[in-house]
Amino acid sequence: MSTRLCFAYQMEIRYSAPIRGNCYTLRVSPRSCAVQQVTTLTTRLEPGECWWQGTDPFGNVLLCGFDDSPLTRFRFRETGTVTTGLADSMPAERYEELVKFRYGSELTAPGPQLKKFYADRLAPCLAGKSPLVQGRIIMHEVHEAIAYTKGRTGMDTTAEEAMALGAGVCQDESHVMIALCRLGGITARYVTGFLIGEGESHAWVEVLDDGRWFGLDPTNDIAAADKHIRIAVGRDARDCPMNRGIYYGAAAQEIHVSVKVWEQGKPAPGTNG
Amino acid sequence: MGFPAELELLKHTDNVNQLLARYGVKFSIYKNNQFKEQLFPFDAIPRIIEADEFAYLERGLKQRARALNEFLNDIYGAKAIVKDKVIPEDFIFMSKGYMAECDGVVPPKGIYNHISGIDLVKGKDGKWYILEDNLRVPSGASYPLIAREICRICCPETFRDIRIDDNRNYAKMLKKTMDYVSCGGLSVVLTPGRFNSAYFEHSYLAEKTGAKLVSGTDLVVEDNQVYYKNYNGRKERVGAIYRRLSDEYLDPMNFYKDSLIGVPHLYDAFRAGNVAILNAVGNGVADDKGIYYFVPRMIHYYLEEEPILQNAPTYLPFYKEDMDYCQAHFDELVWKDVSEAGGYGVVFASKMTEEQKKDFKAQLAKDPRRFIAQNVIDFQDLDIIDKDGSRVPRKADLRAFVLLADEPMVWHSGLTRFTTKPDSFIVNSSQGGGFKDTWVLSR
Repeated sequence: MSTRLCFAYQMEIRYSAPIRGNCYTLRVSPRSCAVQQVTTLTTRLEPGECWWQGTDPFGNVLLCGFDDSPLTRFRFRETGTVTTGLADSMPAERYEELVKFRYGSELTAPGPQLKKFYADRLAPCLAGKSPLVQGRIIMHEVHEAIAYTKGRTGMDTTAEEAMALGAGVCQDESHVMIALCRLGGITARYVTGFLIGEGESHAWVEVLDDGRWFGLDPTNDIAAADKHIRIAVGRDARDCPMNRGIYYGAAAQEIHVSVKVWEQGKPAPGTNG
Repeated sequence: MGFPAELELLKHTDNVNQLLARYGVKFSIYKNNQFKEQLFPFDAIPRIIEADEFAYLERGLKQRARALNEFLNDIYGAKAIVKDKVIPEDFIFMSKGYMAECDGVVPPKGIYNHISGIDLVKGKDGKWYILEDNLRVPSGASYPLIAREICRICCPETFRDIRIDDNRNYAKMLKKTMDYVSCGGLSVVLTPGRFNSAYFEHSYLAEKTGAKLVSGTDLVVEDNQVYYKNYNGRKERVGAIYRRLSDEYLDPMNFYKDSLIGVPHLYDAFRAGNVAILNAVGNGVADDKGIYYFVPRMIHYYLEEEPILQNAPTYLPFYKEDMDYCQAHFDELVWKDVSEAGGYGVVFASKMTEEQKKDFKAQLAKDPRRFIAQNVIDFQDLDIIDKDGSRVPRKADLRAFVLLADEPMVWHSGLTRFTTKPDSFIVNSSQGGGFKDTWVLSR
């Protein structure tokens, strides 16, 4: 069943002192594909004199920019409408584009904790099942094993560390799930995007089964379907950060991100009535 | 061959070394958090290679560089060699050198290894063996280049009497290589700065090729174009970058994010096809010590030719039959850790203590993919002049340079490195040692 979703994404970075040479790469623009159709998309950068678009080797849309004037605030806003849930899966790329998702990446490399979890909890119930069914079982087990907790993990936390901690956010749950899938020989990848409601950006997993990618969301223990807007993919979070930037200056930065996703025709979150 | 018994040049060794020091021909080592700069001692006795022998090497080196370039195009493209199971998939995609960021990115004119530094040794059996391919940022060409230049000044009569191939064309070859792939605009040599062990070379090659010597902060990327910022703020487009910093430091927006010596968005400009980077990014997958084993197969596979130059006999413990051989002949082998470079991570089993052997074998059993083993090649010694003035034999290798433009070019010279220690086989300059000029006889 397809759903028409509206979204508003805003990222604001404030610097404690003027900075120079602001460079950034944003991966925040959804693309149309088999599971979703992007109908409108408006982006605004402040300041935004010099920016350009690109594509990375994972097929993600990039918004790159460079600004050499001193600034104390950088803001990006994007609104759009996306029809989601057009299909339960999307056709996979050719072997040569897929194979990189079969092998570990730095953040999803398995260590003793993950291997033990796989052997004890997963191996016995996965045998003989299709990759999709295995993926669902792994998703459920990860959802149970990792308690959704903010503040205990960071951008660079590995799957192995999150597994040992038994806690983390959507990024960690996805990394753990990807690592476990790859341990079992299932090709899996990391997906960033937005989820219906109000909050921050989201992340989940796609597993490959018979030439198609299926979205599975271990944080919520559900299939990624009409409530999810897909943005970017990678082997792990490091391949597809929504925002990556550098600047010159002895200044601290404070980043505020807000995401709102609502069904078209219904009131946006945070508005009255 | 009408060669004088004693070269006139040898009398000028001290002169040559003094001049090299004045020109700043140094080599620096960064180890254990200590930065040490030292002279790279020059030994005036040249390595001499006869014309026929070099013609043979030249054919083999060209073949090898072409096959490696085909391999890189394939691995970041169609991956046919993996699909055809000539090389096991995991050897490529689990290699540290494989960079998923480069997948599907085609460099200008399809050239990856513009400059290959291929290390060879000559065995006592008279055969040449390839020791390793260096396809990332191979250094060293400037040393024999400037040494020859200075020798000519100190002792012109030697070069009048003996007919050797002129090696001054290296700059021309390098310029041609840059021009061939340039996307229009300036050519630059991108250096990490004066603390890099090869800074002398960066400045020397920039000067000789007429390229600008720049550091990361001199370049800026806007709208996927690379510009050189002049001192007055004017921007000039850059079409080719001979970079002398490694992949991970090249662009903090795409690779190691804390790099201060790179150029933000440089790789985006490359991906958009607006600038050539020499050598291309991601070449580490082809000069990985584990992949070396497969280079002869690449030559068969891509070129449908017999390999002209041989690898040193190599074993991959990953394969059971090779593991069996390695276990039976453990003590005779030299072991290399595929994840290390620069002469580090190389151990001779014969020099291990029993304790070390036990530890090593345990590591090997745990992670066989991490190691390769080779038979120790008994390679020919070359004479050097020792500190006391006597001639002594020392182990030496040869780094040959192959440049790829519209066709492969082999430089008729090369860097001959020797170890100063009488019992050492490791000639990498990061481990001490000196160098010689390499003379290719004209006939």
